[in-house]
Amino acid sequence: MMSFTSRPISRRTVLRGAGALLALPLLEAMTPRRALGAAAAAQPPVRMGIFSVTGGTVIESWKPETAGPLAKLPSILRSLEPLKDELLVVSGLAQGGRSDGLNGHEHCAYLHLTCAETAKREGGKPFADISVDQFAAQRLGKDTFLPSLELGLNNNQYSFRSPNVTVPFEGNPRLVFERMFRSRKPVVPNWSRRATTPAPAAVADSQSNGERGVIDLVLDQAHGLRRKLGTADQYKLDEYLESVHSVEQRIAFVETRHRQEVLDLAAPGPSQLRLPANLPAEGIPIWKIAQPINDDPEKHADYIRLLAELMVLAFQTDTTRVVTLAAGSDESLFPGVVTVGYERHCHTIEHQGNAGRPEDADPIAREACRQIHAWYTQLFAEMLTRMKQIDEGGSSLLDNSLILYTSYMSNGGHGLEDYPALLAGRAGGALKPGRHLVYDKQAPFANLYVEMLNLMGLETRSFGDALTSRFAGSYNGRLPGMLG
Amino acid sequence: VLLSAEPSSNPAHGARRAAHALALGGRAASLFLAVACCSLLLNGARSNSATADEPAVAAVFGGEIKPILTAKCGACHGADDPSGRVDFSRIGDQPSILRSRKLWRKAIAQLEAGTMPPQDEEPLTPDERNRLLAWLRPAAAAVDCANPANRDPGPALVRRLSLAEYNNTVRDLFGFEFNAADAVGMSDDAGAGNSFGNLAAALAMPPTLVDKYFAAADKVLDRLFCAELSSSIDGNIEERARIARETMFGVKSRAWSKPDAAVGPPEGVAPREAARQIARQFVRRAWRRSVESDEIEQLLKLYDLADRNGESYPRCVRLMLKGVLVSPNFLFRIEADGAPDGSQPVRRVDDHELAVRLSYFIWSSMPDDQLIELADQRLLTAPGPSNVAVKLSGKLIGVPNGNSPSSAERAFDGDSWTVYESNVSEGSWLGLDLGEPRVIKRVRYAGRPGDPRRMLNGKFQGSSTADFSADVVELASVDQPPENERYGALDVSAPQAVRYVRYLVPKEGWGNVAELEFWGLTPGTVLEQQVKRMLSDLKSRALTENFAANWLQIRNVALARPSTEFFPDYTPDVRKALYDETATFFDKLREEDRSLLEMLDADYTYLNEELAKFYKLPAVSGKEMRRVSLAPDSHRGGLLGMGSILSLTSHTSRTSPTLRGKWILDVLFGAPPPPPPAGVSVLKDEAEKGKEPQTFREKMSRHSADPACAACHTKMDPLGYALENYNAVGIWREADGARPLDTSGELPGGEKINGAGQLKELIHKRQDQFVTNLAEQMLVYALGRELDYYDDCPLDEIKGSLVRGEYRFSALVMAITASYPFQQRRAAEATGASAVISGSNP
Repeated sequence: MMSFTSRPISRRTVLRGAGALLALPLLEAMTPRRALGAAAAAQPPVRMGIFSVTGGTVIESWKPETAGPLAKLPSILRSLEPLKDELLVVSGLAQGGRSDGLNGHEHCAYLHLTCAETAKREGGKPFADISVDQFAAQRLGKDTFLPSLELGLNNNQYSFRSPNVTVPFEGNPRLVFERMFRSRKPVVPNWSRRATTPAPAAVADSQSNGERGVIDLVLDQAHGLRRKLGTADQYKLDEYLESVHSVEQRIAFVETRHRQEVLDLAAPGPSQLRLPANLPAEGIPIWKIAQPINDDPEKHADYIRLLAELMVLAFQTDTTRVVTLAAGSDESLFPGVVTVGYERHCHTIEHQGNAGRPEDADPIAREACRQIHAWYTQLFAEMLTRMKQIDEGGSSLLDNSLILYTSYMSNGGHGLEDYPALLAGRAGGALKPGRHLVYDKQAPFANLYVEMLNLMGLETRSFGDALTSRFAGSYNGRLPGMLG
Repeated sequence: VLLSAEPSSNPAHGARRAAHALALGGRAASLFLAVACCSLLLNGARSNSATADEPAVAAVFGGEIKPILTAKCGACHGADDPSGRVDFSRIGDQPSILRSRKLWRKAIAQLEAGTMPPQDEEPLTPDERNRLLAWLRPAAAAVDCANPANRDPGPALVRRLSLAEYNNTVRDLFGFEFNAADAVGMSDDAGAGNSFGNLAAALAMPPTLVDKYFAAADKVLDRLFCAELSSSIDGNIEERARIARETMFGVKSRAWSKPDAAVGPPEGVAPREAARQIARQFVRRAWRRSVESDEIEQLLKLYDLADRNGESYPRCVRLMLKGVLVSPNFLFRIEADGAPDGSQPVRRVDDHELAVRLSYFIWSSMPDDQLIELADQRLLTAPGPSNVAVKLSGKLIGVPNGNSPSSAERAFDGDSWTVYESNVSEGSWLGLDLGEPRVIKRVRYAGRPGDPRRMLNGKFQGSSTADFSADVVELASVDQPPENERYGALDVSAPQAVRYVRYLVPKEGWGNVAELEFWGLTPGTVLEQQVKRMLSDLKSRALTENFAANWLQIRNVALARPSTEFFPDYTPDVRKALYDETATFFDKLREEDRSLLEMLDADYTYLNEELAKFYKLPAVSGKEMRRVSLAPDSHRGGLLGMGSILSLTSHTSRTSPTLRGKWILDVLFGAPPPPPPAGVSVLKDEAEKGKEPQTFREKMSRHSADPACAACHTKMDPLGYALENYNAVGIWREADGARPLDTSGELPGGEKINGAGQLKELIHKRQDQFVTNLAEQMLVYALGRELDYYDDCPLDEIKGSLVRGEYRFSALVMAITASYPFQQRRAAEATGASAVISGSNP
């Protein structure tokens, strides 16, 4: 009801007002340096993955005792011990954003990947800021079949294309797989051959021809409708137009890259392709997938493993270079994983195991939280192990990736300081892992995203509230010591 | 009656009312007059009379209120970076005060809760607080409904179909079930912040979704064109899909059962012309409006494209259909902008737009053939008594010799695939008690698929006696066997009024009949008639599934996780039955057009065998939910006696008086307390180590004693404590383990309650607030947007109609469909009253 007043125009205001449609041409200018040079060097691209679990962590069992080179890892991270040299643990990150009328979970979720200054709901719609995965996807996505993937039975809202447009998560692994390989075969790219062989000329088959015809028609209709509507309504059609364009791009991609992948099929890259064996049957309602997961930790683990496999497969086949995986569910029960006390319901355990001060929390429930988080880490470690085994021609998939392992809150009591965060992989050689970075007085979580985007080759000076957070201090949006 | 919601069309009349309002304001400067009016308003006794005291409210604002706001709130809520986008500095003149009514309501809630100003800011003095509240209360209600300037239908919206709407529209367009969530993983639109899943502003169209629309269109068409793996689908759906394609292509029944059937255009018609005819038929239904011929020609380009690629005739048509299904015309509900003469800021929606608004409100789906036909004839907006025959509904009557007790219902379920059968070869009949005599004009019917001849010589009759022992009137008889899998229809040659109608099964008919419809005249306008008809159609279950289930939050029953250690009886079957109890209860309110107040208290509920056992009530047999009369000491009756509500507001191992209180405030009264302040901790079970064990109640009170928490908890907790006799899964108990229960509490106003019985009385006293909230919720649902200050008057009118209609379900729905925002649309760019909200919709 209150209208905009004459406030200084921030970058965010510009994005918000102009809408993503206008933002597109801008993005061309922001193409990463690495991508432009990709043809010259035979180096595989860098992939960005986010593996986010629910319920924060139990910080005293997560945070290594000393800064510097990683010594023996605390119990939650213990399963990562063999991968220690691939990890950069970052301690002392905090979210400083405000929210308006949101509950604790929404507050943490909306800020999680956006680091928005303010999060709220407007007209029934979540409102925050562009999220780091989508920021990267909008810049890296045009080189791949899909700009990004968002995986998991995520009830929370993490990904935002723009301040008021959210991105849904896909919880059905079969549908993820179908989406990845619609009208194309899974194949491991041969990066060294690609560096020397230019993309062959496009061939169009009659199927994509028909699809193209449909797209032309509906774009025509949308333009016509748009002209007839008042300006207030036009943005709905703009959104539609922009989205159809991205479908068009996918078809164009199939047409132009089809030959490239056909060549790869004849002489694929060195690693073996492992297709997921236990995808759910076709047409299964999502609750049939979710319910057993919520009741049985073994099925839950298998499900997270399957999503992780899809993330790895998406990176290995260069289907996309940006994947967010939301693991876990507050609604789950953890019999067998939690072996202390009588409570097995995740959300209840999280609340009982956290309080204003850790010493006020129920120690049994806190131990239960610790057990759950050690269990998550085990699954994460399995994924990294697999990535390390995938040879991309002299370097591993893990070497060529930047994987963030974190949670949308810092602890089960909706905590916003001392987040658990660690990076795995070497971002194609730009990152030197095997260390523990500590920011004792808390630094904005957004600064980690700034560092990650730069490591991805996307030169960025600020992200979210990196410069305006109450934790901004004198960091100037960066994390000193990040590059070693 | 239809026009009752319109502003006075006589300008002089309107001006007189406005003058009256001014005079009132001048004479009685005291604001307490407005307060009195406002409480009357809440009692629903007031209808559209001009009693608001706008000028007086404005006068006090400038002199007394604004200085307080500037001094105590201005630092955060001033022009400079207003917190929460609340900027008091912009409010000054009378219109701006009026427009801020929603803000005033929020301010009242904040002041009452003691949450503003925040604790670290300078507090208001008691006098300032009192003066603010004394002004705010009338200001929040001050509006002159007779003043046309206060009329605004709200922003003109373009609405994407929600997931539920998409699924239902596909179902009604093709005649077979399709679930885009299962098929392509389209996500549910109902969720955080978009409570009903249909708020226009929240229905975004991101690329992933468009991608899914393309994939979904392929899967729908696979089903239609028999290209699905048949093992993966229900045989029933397969058969319906066959009928759909055979009907669409004008092919003989059962000629297209296999994917490789050779299907061409009808004899003597060129393929392209046949495709054009299919498109014309299909598109006007799919796009829910009349279609221009150039739009059809455009679609034919897709036909041509596929044709050039050497595709078969059905595949060429298929590509065209795909174009229809991913078109913005299908995926969005679009109403044309601009007034017919380009001058009016607001225009009435036309017939087709009204048909679409109606069908998506009541059915969450597209208009059916009758609505489309009425819209074509412009009868839907016609004033005055209707002369149109509609499908009549009534209570089932007949000789109970079907194969199963519910078998007769299948003849009236609108589904020509389900069949009534009798176990005797002749002499059975079935029909309807219409409640009162109706003139029957027409009958429609469908025979048993594959065996339509069994209706030959069947008779349609009417009578004034329920057993057809006297006054039997012959309405029509089936002289020709109906076509297989198609409807037949017969006009009644000499229409007359009868209360009882029936179908008399012919010799060797074995009762077999798929559908029976009696069409006749009913009172009211065409619109009123249609609303009634729509409400008695099974498709209006959508109101239960999409409106009530979300409003009452019973979808969360699926998420409740009572500890299996303490509550082993809470099985998956019980969980489902708990949801069904509430859903069926609401659904029957609609079906039987009962009073909505029965939600608060009723002497009946719906149970099945499992649930009756769970509640420890007298046995009921079977899995079906059945109506059960409740004894006074059953502790059930009304929503608050339902295990669904009681368990979704509990924790795993214990009840939560706070959550239950919050549910009552939020869901029943529409007055949710604000979320807890950031950093608030939960109940500290271990916090007070070394002290004597406390009761649960003592732990709770310690928490609530924290001033940051108290303001809201004193409102919520006493309501929840009154329900302590229900445990965390809703079972009645007399004690909590070894400890006695304390079910007493005191509300902020000093009102004391003890136990569920007194809570019911309290809620009964505030029934008016419940009714207001229900009307608001359903209006939000119907309009697909949140309400704003200009919706006060329509709401007031809807409430008035609801009270006059004895709170009947249909009275509420009818009043909403007749309301100003439902009937009108902003036509031009922001002008007049509409200009003010443009800021909220960037």
